[in-house]
Amino acid sequence: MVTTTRRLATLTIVALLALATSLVGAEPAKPQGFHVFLGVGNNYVFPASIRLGYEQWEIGKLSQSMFGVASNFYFTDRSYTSLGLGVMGAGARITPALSASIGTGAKLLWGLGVRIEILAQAGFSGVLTEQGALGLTYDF
Amino acid sequence: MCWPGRIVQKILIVGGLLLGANSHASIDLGVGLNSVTSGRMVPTLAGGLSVGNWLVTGSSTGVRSAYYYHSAYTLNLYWTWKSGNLFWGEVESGLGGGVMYAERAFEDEGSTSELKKSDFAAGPAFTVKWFFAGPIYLNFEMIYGLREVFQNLTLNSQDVIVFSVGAQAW
Repeated sequence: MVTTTRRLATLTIVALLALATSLVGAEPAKPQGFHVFLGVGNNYVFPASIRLGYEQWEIGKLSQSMFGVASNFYFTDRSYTSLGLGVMGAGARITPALSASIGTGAKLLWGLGVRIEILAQAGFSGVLTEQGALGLTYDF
Repeated sequence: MCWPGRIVQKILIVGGLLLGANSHASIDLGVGLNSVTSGRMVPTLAGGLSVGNWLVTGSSTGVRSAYYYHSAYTLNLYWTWKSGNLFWGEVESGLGGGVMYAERAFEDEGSTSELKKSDFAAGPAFTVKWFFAGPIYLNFEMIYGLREVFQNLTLNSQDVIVFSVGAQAW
């Protein structure tokens, strides 16, 4: 258990260092065309998020428990807030849901980028949950 | 003057300067849900006061029966900006910090003692608000509650989410 936690912590530190490093002098992460995002979620569940995007719009698996479409509003070249609409699993039920998130990212090499996001979900059934996402983007 | 007095004095001076520099103010009031009572339809009262780009929000939620009660309160401070438009409505976002305090207690039938616990969370916070019908909005607020570092490193947080529908005056 301790070993697993240390591995996860190491993985996070490496990812965050890569993100921090890439933020310095890197290209803006704001997508200009089609892109995909593939990420791990809470406790490094993979794949927690698989999204296909065009410009500010993204569609797909927004988090571990939500499918939908979201619009990202960039307030810097790299950071954004978003609003989304979709369906989420709440226990044994599926319910319509809304989401909001805040995230940041940076481009690395060959169209690849790294991105981290915190997402809040509100299901119409009254379930509200937080989801994290950490992953890679690829711009076509 | 003692140090708490000096802190209050500085807060009042800075607050006065902010109010003076920004003449535009508005009040938000809405109802919704809180993740503290997630899964149950327990209503939350959520409101805010904005002056210029600064926004202070608060929420209160609670449920009570003959055997138990559960109450939670949040207080947040944000720097806000206009994010753009989603379809026909304007989107406003904010980034800042917040705190949450919750208290719950249970007293079993026939018992004379009450079991009481409280929770506290504090950390960075964000808000995203969509004005979908004039002054009527949908609002998300989330506090990323910082706790033991390994939990945060596994992308888990002591999250507090307030979702509300409300209206903005002024």
